[in-house]
Amino acid sequence: MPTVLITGASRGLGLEFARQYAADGWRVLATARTPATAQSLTEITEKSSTVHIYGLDVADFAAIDRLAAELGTEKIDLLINNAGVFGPKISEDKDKRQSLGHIDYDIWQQVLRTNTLAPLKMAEAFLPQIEAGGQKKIVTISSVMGSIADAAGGYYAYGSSKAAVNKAMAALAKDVAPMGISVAVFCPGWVKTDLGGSMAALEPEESIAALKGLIAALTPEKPFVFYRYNGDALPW
Amino acid sequence: MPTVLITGATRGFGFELASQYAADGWRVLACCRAPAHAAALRKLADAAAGAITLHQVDMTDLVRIEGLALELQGQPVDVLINNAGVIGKRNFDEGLLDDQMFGKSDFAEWELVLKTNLLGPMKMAEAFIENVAASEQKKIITLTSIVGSMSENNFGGMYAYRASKAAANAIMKSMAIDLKQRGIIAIPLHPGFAKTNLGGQNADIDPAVGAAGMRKVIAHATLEHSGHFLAYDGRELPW
Repeated sequence: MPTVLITGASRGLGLEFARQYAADGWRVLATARTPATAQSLTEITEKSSTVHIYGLDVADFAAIDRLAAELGTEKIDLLINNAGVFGPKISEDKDKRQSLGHIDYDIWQQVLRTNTLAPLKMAEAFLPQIEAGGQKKIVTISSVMGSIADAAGGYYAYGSSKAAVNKAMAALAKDVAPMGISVAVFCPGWVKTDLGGSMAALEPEESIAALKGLIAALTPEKPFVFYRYNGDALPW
Repeated sequence: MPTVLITGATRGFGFELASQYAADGWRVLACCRAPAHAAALRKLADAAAGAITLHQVDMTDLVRIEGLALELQGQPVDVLINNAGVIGKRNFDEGLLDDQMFGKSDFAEWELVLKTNLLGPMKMAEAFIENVAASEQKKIITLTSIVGSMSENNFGGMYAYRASKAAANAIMKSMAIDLKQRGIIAIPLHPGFAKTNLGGQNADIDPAVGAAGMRKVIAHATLEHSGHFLAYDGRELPW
């Protein structure tokens, strides 16, 4: 059975990815910053012996290296760079630190580290395991808020971090295609998670089921497209 | 290469069908309630070099059926085989015939049997209709049973199971009529009384024989056969 490595699996999209791939019988390597408090994820391990939890903060690159060493002999079919942060929210928290005139540049750098740099660090660190895997897929959860053509105002940290990771993944796609590795970035839609908020329309089950379908269809020959969860191509 | 979607692939007919179609070079979407625990199926998939993929779905979970369809959106399905089914809360070896007797109806059991054998297959057909329509072969097959035949009922009993299979025959007949325009073939298929977990050790045939027979019938099925109650050995059965 295939193996998937999922970052940020304690809640939200990551948790749902873990749940659905575990239900399908995959070996699931799930990371969370604090496994001790990741109750829902732990419950999945109680139902399925093929799920394993690892402590990892993707912003800690030395920790990524240590995990890659620990999982050195694993064959990883699919890496899902799911862990991500939004930064301050004007809508819910009335927090203006992503708004013009109030931008917090330290926060911007933290968001870039988690959302943009860490996915590449994960890809670099786990490249041997992915090359050894059968399916050879690297997937990063991005966002339509990273679209330049469809840009809205504000949310400088989050939006730019997603645009930047799209660009970095485009380059990665070119570099790893000769190794037979597929790279993809997806917008999961606006989903009811802690990040997406309660006003979001989409349930995690729906978004993840759709994304699993798109992931299954990936091949290295396919062009690098910014996919929405429903299969539409989003503009860069 | 053609694609077959099979529900209830963990064991019995579902497992046999998955194995035989994969050996024949088909792409097999093998669905079951608990892929994580389906040891034999996992082993089969591991040996099949990607030809068999496992998908979690429970026929009584209509929302999950929709989720599965979402996941498989755009994937043509040449043959949809509604194989998953239950006979009751106990199978033949466990004492089924003592259940489902007149005066002893367990209506929770009725619900399970109807949901699994009738509503689930209906939902699967509706949810996957575009996948089937987009394929070359366009076949929807539901495993029913001769036990659902009115004229062949000389035995009595087995109320919930009989009702579910007769009703499944009814929906396949309706589907055949409704889907004819789109060139889609719908057939209720009697698989034979086989030595599976459901059929028990005293059943007539080996599941591999039933599965091979069914695959032959399915392969030769045309719109002429749509809406007819067929059996694994090629016979046409009376309603």
